[in-house]
Amino acid sequence: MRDVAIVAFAQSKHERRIEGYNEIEMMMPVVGELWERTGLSADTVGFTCSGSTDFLAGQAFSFVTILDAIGPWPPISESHVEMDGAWALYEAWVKLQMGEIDTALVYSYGKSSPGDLPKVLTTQLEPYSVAPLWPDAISVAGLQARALLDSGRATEADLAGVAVRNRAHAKDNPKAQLAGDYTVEEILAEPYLANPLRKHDCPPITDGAAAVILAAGDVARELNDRPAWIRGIDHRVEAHALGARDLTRSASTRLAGEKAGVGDAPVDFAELHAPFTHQELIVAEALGLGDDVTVNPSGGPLAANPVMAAGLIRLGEAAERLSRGEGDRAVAHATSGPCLQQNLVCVLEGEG
Amino acid sequence: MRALEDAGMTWGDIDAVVLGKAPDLFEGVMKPELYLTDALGGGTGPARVHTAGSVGGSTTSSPASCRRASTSGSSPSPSRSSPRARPCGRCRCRCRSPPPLVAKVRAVSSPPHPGVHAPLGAPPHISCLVALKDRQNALKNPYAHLHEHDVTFEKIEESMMPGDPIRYSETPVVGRRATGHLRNEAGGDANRNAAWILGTAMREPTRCSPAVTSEPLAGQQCADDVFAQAGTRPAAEIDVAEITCRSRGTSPMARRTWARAEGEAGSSPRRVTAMDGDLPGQPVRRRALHQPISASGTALRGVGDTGAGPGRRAPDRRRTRLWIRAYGGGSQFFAMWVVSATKPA
Repeated sequence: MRDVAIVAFAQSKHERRIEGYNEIEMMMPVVGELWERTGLSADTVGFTCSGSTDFLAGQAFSFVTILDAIGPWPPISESHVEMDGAWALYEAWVKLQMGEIDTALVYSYGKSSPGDLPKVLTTQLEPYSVAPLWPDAISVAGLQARALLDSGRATEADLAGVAVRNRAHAKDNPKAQLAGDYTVEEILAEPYLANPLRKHDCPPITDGAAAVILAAGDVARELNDRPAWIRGIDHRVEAHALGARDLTRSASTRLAGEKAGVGDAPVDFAELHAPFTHQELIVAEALGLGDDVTVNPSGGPLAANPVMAAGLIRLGEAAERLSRGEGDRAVAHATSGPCLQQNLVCVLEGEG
Repeated sequence: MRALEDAGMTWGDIDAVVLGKAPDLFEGVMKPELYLTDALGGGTGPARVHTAGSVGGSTTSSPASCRRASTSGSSPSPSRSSPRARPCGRCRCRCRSPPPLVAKVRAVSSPPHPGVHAPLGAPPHISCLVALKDRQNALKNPYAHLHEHDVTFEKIEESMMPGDPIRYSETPVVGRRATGHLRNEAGGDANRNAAWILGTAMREPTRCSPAVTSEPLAGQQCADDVFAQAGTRPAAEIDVAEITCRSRGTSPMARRTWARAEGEAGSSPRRVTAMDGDLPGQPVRRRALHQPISASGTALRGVGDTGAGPGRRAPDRRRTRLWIRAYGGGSQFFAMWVVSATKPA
């Protein structure tokens, strides 16, 4: 396998509503920051891949317009996935494995503020018997949380504990949307949003964008003194129907984690794309992460959740932390679909 | 399942699934790979999605990449891949509010015609000729949407113009009856019916580029790239072409791309794309005959034209090397392939 690394990562300041900027304007400074840091450009980067959904823009082929954020003229070798940017990164990684290119730009964005996000996410449910009932995304997650509590493997206080930790971690993340000091008691005193989920158990609605540069071999070493090498990456999906799988466990995460080699060596920290508190517990268990592993030092998606970019941000945050020397081995995770249906796991290592 | 049967495989042999489809908004289902999972291997394999008009071409490029990576010794997990495009037979457009100032599709298609044909020196009736050739070829394709047994040049010429100067008979078929079940095994182990991938390329420019020309730069670059990968000179070694054309007017444009690629600067389209021509175009199927949006990935169809693949509907002589060209937008995005019926050395 060819050595491929994340050598640069940039993201916008995440906000509930970025007024006055369209997606192109939101994306441009993020990509521009990467060009500046790496010396690359739309002309010289080997491949470009993006991840987004037309359902946020309300316009088919919206990603074609957003490509102008990187100024693709003359024409570039480019692709797009209608998925989280983490899967765009996977495609770029495959391209790099071919050996025909040495660098790739991956970007993704989500501007949720113009619509009703929980309802938009309803449209990803099975369209004949489930979606017509219009269960919103928070209610669907609530079913999963209830199942986990009923299994006896977690309590509402455990869920609140996840929120407290992520809010505290986010205080060190200048890009975070939500951060602060809370106690479990304070959170448990709040009313339910969708029983048993409270507001702090749920991700914020976020406008934001992110991008990474991938590079192979010596090119990666030229672009970054301590690249974050991708040692394993895999993604798996499981049945869609909520009643057809054990919602309290994530079989696809476990399998992807095994394929990516999570358990082959100790993990220093993990960035998990678990938008709801109970999901963080499920994913951490599926990956076999022990109590000694710091989970979501950035504050995770509870701190900022730009839909379609939040998974890519997990990979970028983990890579940047490794490049800063704050650990040697990290796990990054991204999810797609209702109740953790599809999951991507990536093992990253700093050069050591 | 028919693709698997054709390849002599089962789901257990599949390492990766790539799903390509039209924009999710066309169907009203966000990320439909999620609910299609059960139909795509029971959740055992990864899926991912392209969304673009020429997605068939670009979708299939991805597993092709996997395959080439694995054969070069640096193996990501996929060793065999099953690209597939789904039909738009249940196309349910739920776009609630159309964006302002949006051009109708026919308006997008029409302007290129004069701009494309004039520089190429193509005769005014070229589109009718192309349409006639494709409709006749389609009679040999059991999967084609349209089987017009009584089609004639005159009938095409007399058909109404939904958007001047494009006649109805020169436009693609779109609709609920489209059955774009495109199946193939990209780069399988080749023992049976494999179409060996010699090259794949994609190019996209800014949307503000001068895309409406007879020779879009993205198309030229894409052709240069794919032929370089294939190590072939088109004129000498390509036997057949499968070209996505939403309307007949873009066929001469593709021909022009071809001419440039083989070094025939200044040449004009010749009538060479008939079945008995030097370069048979669309030997069995083409977009104008059934156009499931995105499933138009002529790549998949083209693989069948090599005399390999699921269709084995090759024309009268066995085609060994095939050039495939798909495009999206207003001749903006391009995806191309070169495949071969024989295993490359």
